[in-house]
Amino acid sequence: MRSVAISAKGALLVLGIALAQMSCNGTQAPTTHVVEIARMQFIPAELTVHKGDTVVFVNHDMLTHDITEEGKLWTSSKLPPDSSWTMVTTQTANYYCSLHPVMKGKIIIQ
Amino acid sequence: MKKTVSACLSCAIFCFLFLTTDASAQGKSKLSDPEVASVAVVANQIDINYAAIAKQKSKNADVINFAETMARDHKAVIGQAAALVKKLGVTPKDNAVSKKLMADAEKTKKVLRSKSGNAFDKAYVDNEVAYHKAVIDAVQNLLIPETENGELKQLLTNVLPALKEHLGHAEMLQKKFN
Repeated sequence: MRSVAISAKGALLVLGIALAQMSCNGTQAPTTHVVEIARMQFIPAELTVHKGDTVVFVNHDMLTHDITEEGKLWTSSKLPPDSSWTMVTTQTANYYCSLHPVMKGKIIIQ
Repeated sequence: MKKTVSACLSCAIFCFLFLTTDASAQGKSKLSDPEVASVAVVANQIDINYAAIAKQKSKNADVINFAETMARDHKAVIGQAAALVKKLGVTPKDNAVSKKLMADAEKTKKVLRSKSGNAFDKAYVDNEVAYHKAVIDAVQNLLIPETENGELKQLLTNVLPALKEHLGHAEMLQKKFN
């Protein structure tokens, strides 16, 4: 699972490049999905994507959270309220918030 | 000594619930919004104080991580409460509930400080489970219904999921010690 922390402008640039590549080689363009963090939950808790899709985690909660793969293969840094973190999916992953381990989510590669 | 923490805590929780229930039952003496704000700030500060003891005394990584989360989260809640009361022009007002909470917390802190090693970790986590249960009950059934200001009521409502997660987290730890 490859993860990158990029700005909103960066995310748009990545999306633009991906769309340009699609028009050149005919492959399916990666899609951007949003997982909202609110009321101590990942919403949706389970997300099905295609390999290479981008997932943006947006923290709309009142507290700081993080997103950590169950086996700690990858993790975001601490995500304060009203900030986001972007990752490109490469494999199915169970994840949780290491600060609040009751909070769990799953990304499924279709 | 083994029963001292739970006895002390039970007393504190009983007093918390009794005082708030009594105030509610009497109707005329229900908590005002400035008093609700004070109780909310004090309840959060108490858990920050417990976390400070845990960070000082525990060697257990899971317990320390939990304590750090409690300190971070409850500080954030106090920050939001402070911003709200400033916006509303309300000054949190000490009252019988907040004073009793603080006084009882001093007793619990004294007991926690007297313990060490696994005994401390277990006592701290047991305390966190019981404390969060009591606070959730009080916020849900007493403080929210008694609050008149919509924004203060909303803040208390927003805090509930965090309190419930904290309880779940504490119970996960508790299983490791029992």
